[in-house]
Amino acid sequence: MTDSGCAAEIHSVAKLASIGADVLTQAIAMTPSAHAECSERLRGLVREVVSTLAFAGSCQGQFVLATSTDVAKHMCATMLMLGEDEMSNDEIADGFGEILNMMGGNYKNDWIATDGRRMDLTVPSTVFGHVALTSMRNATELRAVEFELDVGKMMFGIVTYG
Amino acid sequence: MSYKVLIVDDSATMRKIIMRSLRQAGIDVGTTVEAGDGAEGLAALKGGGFDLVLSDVNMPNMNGLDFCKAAKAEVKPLPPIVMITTEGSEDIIAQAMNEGAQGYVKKPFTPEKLGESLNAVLKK
Repeated sequence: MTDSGCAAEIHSVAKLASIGADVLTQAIAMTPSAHAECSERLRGLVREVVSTLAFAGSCQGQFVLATSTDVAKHMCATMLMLGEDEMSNDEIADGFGEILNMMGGNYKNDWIATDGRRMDLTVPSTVFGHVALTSMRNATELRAVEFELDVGKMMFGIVTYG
Repeated sequence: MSYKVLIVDDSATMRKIIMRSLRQAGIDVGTTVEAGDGAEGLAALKGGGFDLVLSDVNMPNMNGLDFCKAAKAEVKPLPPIVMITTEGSEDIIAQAMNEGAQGYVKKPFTPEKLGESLNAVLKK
């Protein structure tokens, strides 16, 4: 086991989809109507709201959650039971990051169930605007799924380095 | 009895969700105090008078495990601390319990699940 690179296989896209859908359903009562793999799209990610959650341990990399501002606002307002017009950008960033935190945490809990695996999570960071995450271009493995929600699409992915 | 509750979480969104869930779960909350990390939480806790502490694990500055450890050493009497976190590994839970936590709730949670866990701790 190493502290850089990836010494253990990351979960499949199907598992990623299952974990993401569970969190959306339990935390926001938003069950995706469909999902599709979109792993390669992570290399040239251009979305309006992007949250990242870095991790180290048996693998080094980051979780990524991305969507439009409108979808993020709707999700966060639903989670907080507030009107969308009551949501500030800070609240959207914090709420969207918390959704990723739950997804990343649940992924970790499942992934470390295999003996010897370790994953240390940081705290989520969210940015607005059309963002190209250049670090994705150096990724060794990318897995992502795009969920179809009532209000639009949202991507959940994992990227490893080294 | 109305409880004075300290909520320690770096996410303001999660703190609001926890407060709402406490009320939905029928916990009689009189006063809530919010803290954005373990260091803020410890400072608030030293002010005294809390009946219950709900804390995240993964936070900047001082994480939930260090918060529990410091609270156990520095705050007498120590109110029950319940961890509310995505960190569900047995190792993390065992560490938290060793450092003074009395319960654990995994995110995402329902108000019912939160109430069930907290009532068990508050009845002790």
